[in-house]
Amino acid sequence: MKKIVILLISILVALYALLSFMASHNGEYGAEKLFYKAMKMQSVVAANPEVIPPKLLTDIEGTLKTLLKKYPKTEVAKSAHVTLAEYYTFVKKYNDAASQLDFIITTYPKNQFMLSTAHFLKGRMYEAQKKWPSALNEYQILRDVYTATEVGLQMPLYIAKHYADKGDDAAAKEAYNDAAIFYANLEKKNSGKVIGYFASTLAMQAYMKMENYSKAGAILEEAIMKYMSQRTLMQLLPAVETIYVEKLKSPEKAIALYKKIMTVIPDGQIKQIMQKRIAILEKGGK
Amino acid sequence: MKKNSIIKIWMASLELMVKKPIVILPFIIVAFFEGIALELIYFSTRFPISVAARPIIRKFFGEPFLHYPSNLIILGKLFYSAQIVIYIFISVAMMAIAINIFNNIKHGLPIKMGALVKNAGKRYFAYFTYGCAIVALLFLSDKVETFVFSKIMFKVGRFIPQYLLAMLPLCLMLVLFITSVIIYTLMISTVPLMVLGKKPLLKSCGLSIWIGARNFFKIFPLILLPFIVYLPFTLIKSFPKELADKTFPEANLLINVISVIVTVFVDCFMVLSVSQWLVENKKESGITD
Repeated sequence: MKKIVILLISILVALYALLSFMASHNGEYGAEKLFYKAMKMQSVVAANPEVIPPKLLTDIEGTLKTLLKKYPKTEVAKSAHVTLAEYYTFVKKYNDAASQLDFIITTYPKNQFMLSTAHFLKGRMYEAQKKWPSALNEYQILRDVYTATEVGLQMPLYIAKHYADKGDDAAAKEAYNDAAIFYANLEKKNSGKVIGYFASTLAMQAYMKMENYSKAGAILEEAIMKYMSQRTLMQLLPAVETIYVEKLKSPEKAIALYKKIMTVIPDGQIKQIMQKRIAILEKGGK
Repeated sequence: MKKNSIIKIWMASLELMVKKPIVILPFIIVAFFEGIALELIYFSTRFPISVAARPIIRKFFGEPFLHYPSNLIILGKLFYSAQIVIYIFISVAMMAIAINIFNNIKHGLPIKMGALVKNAGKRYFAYFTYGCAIVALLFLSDKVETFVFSKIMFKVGRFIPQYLLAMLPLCLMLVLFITSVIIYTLMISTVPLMVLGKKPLLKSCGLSIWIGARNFFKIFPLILLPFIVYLPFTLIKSFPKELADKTFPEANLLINVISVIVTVFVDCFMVLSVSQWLVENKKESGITD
C-alpha cells in the first residue's frame, strides 16, 4: 500500500510541476499576481493615508517596477503603468509622475484609453501642484482630441465642477454653459449614436447644474424619445420627476411625458412602473 | 443507543484504520482523483488548460473570473462540481471496495485488490445509480430549503433586527448541514447492505431508509461526529471572497487541499462505523455471516 500511496502522490506532484512549467510561459497570470499584491498594499495606504509606513510605499513602487520589468508586454502592465503614475502623484514625486505619464503616451500611441487616462492623470498631477492652467491644458486636450473616450466626454463638466468647488460661481456658470453648448453640438454631430446619447445626458446635467430645469427637461424628453430602449429608460426615467416634480413643481408635465412614452413602448415592467407613478402623481403624491 | 456503544464502534473503526490501513486505500484513490481535478481547476485559467476551460468559465462566470485572484474565488465552486462527478463515478464504488475489505478483514479472508475491484465492477451500475440518487436528493433538499427560507424571510424579514439578518446565511447553512446528516442517516446503510448483505440496490435503499428511521437516534449520532469535522471546511469554503480578502487568495486552494486530505480519513471512519454497526445489529440489518 505504501508504494501505491507514494506513486499517487508522485503523479500529483509531477502533474503540478508540469502544469506550472507550461503555465510559466504565459506571463499574464504572474503579472496579475504581482499587480494584486501592489493593489492590496495600496488599499492599506488608502485606508489610513495619514500614517503610512515608509517601507510600504517602497514596496508598492518596487512591486510595480518588478511587474513592469518582468512582464512588460502583458495587459496588466498597462494598469501597472497607470497605477505607478498615480502612486508617484500621491507621494508627490511629480517629476517621476510626469516621466511615467509621458512614457505611457509614447508607449501606447494608438491606445485611446491609455492616452486619455495619461492626460487625465497629468491634469490631476498639475492640480495637486496647484498648477490649474497646466491642468486645464490637459483637460482641454482630453475634451477636444479624446472626446470619444469615457474620460474625454466628462471633461467639460469636470472643468466646470472645478470652478464650482472653488466657489468661483461666475467661472462655473460660464464653464457649465460652455459644457452645455459643447454637448449639444456633439449630440448633433453624433445623433442616433451611443456618443450622441451620452452627450444628451451630459447636456441635461450641465443645464441642471445651471438650474435651468426647463431646458434640462426639454433635453431629457428629446433624449428619451430619440434613444428609446429599456436601458436608456431605466437610466433617464428617474430624472423625469426630479426635474418636473421636484424642481419645476409641474407634475402634469411628468404625467404628460409618461403618457407619451407609454404610447410607444411595449407592455412590460417599465409601463407598469409608469402607470403606478401616474396614479400617484395624479393623486398629488410623490 | 448507549453512548458507550457509539464510542465502542468509533474506537473499533479507528483501531481498524490504524491496524489495517489498507482499508483507507479506496478513499486515498478518491482523493487522488480529487487532487487531479483540483490541480486542473487551479491551472484552468493558464495555458494549456485555459484553451478548453476559458470559454466555459467566461460563459458561466464572466470575464473577471479568468484572472487572478477571482479565479481562486470560484475554485471552490468548480471543485465542488468536480467532486459531485467523482462521487457518482468513483467514490461510491470505492466505498463498496472499502466495505468489502472491512468484511474480509473481519472474516480473516485475504485482501486481493484485483478480486475486490472485479466484484465492485459487477455492481458498478448500481453504485453509480445510488451516487446519482444521493446527489439528486441533496440538491433537491438544498433548493427546497433555500426556497422556503427565502419565503419566510420575505414575510418576516422586516421584523428581524439587522444584526440578526446578517447571521441568516449562516443559519441556512447550518439547517442545510443538519438536513444532509439526516439524509445520510437514512441512506448511508445502502452500500454496506449491498456489499455485506448482498442485497440489490432498491431493496438495500428501502432497508437503509427503514433502518435509519427505526434507529434514527442510534445512527444519527454515529455519523454526526464525522460530519461535524466537515463543518468548519464547509463554512470557510462558503465565503471564498472573504477568506481571500482576510488572508490571501491561495487560501481557497489550501482549504480545499486540506479538506481533500481530511475527507480521506473522515469518510473511511464513517463508512467503517456504519458497517460495524450493521454487523453488530444483525437483527436490524439482516446481514448474516
